[in-house]
Amino acid sequence: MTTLLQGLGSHRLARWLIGLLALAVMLGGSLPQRPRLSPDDLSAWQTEWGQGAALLEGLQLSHIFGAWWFDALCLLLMLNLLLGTLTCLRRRLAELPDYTRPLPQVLALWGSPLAHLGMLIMLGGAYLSALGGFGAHLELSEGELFSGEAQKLHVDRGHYRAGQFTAALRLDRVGIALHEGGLLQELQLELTSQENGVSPQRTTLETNAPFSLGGYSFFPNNRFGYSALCERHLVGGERRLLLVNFAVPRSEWGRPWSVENRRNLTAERGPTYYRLKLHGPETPLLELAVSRGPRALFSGRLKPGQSAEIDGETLTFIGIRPWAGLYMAADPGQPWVFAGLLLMLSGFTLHLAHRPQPARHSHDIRQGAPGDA
Amino acid sequence: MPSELLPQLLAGLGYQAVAGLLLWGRLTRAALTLLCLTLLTHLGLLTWRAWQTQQLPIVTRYEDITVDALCIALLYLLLQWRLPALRRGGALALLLAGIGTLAALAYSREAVPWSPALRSPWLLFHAQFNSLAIAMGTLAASLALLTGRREGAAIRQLLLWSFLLWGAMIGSGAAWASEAWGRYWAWDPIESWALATLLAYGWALHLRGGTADGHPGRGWYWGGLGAYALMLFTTYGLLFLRYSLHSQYLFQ
Repeated sequence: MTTLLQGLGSHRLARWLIGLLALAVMLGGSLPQRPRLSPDDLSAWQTEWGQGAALLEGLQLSHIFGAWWFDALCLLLMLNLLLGTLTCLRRRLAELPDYTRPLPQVLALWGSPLAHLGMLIMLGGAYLSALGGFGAHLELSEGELFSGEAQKLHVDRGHYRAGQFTAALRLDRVGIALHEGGLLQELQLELTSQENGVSPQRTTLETNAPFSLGGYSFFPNNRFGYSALCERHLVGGERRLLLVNFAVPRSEWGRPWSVENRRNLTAERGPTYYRLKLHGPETPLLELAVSRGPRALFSGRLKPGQSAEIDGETLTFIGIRPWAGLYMAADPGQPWVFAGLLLMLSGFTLHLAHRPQPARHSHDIRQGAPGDA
Repeated sequence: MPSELLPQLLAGLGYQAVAGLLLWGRLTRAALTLLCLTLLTHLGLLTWRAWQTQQLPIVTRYEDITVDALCIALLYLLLQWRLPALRRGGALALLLAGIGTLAALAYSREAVPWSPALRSPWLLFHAQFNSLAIAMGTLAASLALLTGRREGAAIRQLLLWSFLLWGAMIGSGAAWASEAWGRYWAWDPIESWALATLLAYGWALHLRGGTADGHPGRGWYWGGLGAYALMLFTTYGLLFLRYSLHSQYLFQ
C-alpha cells in the first residue's frame, strides 16, 4: 500500500501526467473542437474532413476537453499533486522543531509545497466550474423584460431550469458608438432591475463592469443589432408580440442597411416558414415571404403600421428597435480557481526569492561546530 | 508614423551589434555601454509613441513585438550583473531582440483605438507578464545554447522565472476574461496553447538526472528548449493558423 501511494505521488508519474496533458491540450488547441463550432461550421468541417472527422469523433479528439480520458488524466494529476504535496508538507513539519534556519530559508523551503497546494486548489476549482458553472447568451430589445424565461436563453454551458432566476431585468436603452471602420468605441446598456420586491434599480452596464442580479452576473457580449417588432393576431383572437432580431454589420451601423433572417413559427395550421429582410434605420421596411411546405402564403413589403393577412392570421409590423446581447453567468468554482492561482504564484515567488542553504541542526549548535576549541 | 522608422532601425541594429561584440568576447564594457544607449533609444521610441497615441503601446502586433524585444534587452542588462554567465551567454537573446525590433516594422504601425474590452488594468498586467516571460525564456534558451549544460543552476533559475511569469500572464488573462466576458477559461486556441506551454515548462522543471558535478541531464536541457519553442509558437505563430479572440487586436 505504501509503495502504491509513493508511486502515485512520485515525480516520475507527475512527469508522465504533465507530458500527456500538455500533448492533449496542444491537440485540443489545434484540432476542430465540437463545442466551439457553430452548426454551419460543424457541418462544413464534417464535409471537408470526411473520414478524418469520423475518426476524430471516434477517438474523442473532437471533444478533448470533455473526453473521459482527459478527465481521468486531470483527476490522476490531482491525486499525484495531493499525495506529493502531503509528503513534502509532512517532511517540512517534521523538520521544524529540529533545526535553526534563518526565516528567508524557511520561506524558500515552504514555497514549493505551497505552490503545489495552490495548483491542487486551482484544479479543484476548475472541476467545480465544469460541474456547476452556468453561462447563457440573452438578446434583449429596448423595452423588453427578462424574468427568467428559459426560451430567451441560449445556454452555452451548464443547465437552466425555468424559475431559477427570480429577479426581473429590463433593457431601457442601448448606447453604441463606433469608430470609423466599425471598431467598437462605446457600448452602454441602461437597465432597470428588480429583485425580492425591492424598488426598481437603474444601472448602466459596460464591459469590464459586470452587474449582479438574482445570483447571476451579467456582461455585455458585444453583439447588437435591430429587432423588427410585430404583432400577431392569431386565429382564436389571441394577440402575441413577435420580436425578430437582426444582426447589423458594424461597418454599416449608422448608415442605411438591410439584413436577412429566417424563422420557423408554429401556427394553428402547422409550422410556417418566414423569410424576412429588414431595412433601416431611417425608413424602416420589412420584406416578408411566408410559406407552409410548398405553398406560398404571403410575399410583400410592410411599412410601420401596415399588416399582412397570412392564412387567417394578421401580422402587423410595428417598427424597429435596437437590441443588445448579454451574457448571464454563475460559477461556484471561480473563487477557488483564483485563490489557488494566487497561492501557486506566491509559493513560487517565495521559492525563487530565497535560496535554501544546507540545514544546521540544533544539536550541532549545542555541541559546537567542527574545529571549535 | 514615419518618424518611428529611424529609431527602430537604430535599436534593431544596435542590439545586433552588441550581440556581435559579446560573442566575439572583447570590448565587453563598450558592448554594455552601446546596449544602454540602444535601450534608451528604444525606450524613447515607445514613450514617444505612447504620447502620440495617448494610449500604452501594448496592443497591436507591431507594439507587441517591439515591447517584447525591449524586455529581452532590459532583463539582460539587469540580470547580467547577478549572473555573470549571462554576459556572454545572453548574446543570442540580444540578437533575437534585434531581429524582433526590425521584424516589427513589417507590421502596420497605425495606432488602433481601444475597444471597451481593452480598457482594463488587467491589460497592462497581462501584456507585461507576457513580454517578461518571453524575455526570461529567451535568456534561458540563449544561455543553454551558448554555454551548453555547464550553467545548469543559472538556467534552472531562469526556467523557474519563465514558468512563474508565464503562469502570471495566464492568470491575469483569466481574471480579465472573467471580468469582461463572464468566463475565465473557454479553451480558446491561444489559451490552450498557453497552458500547454506552461505544462511544458513544468515538465522540464520536473526532469531530474544529470552528471555528478551538477550539470543538468540531456532531457532537462532539451525539455527547456522545447518549452521555449512552444512559447514562441504560441505567441507569434499560432494566430497564423487558428482564429482566436486575440486575432482581432494583434493583426490590426
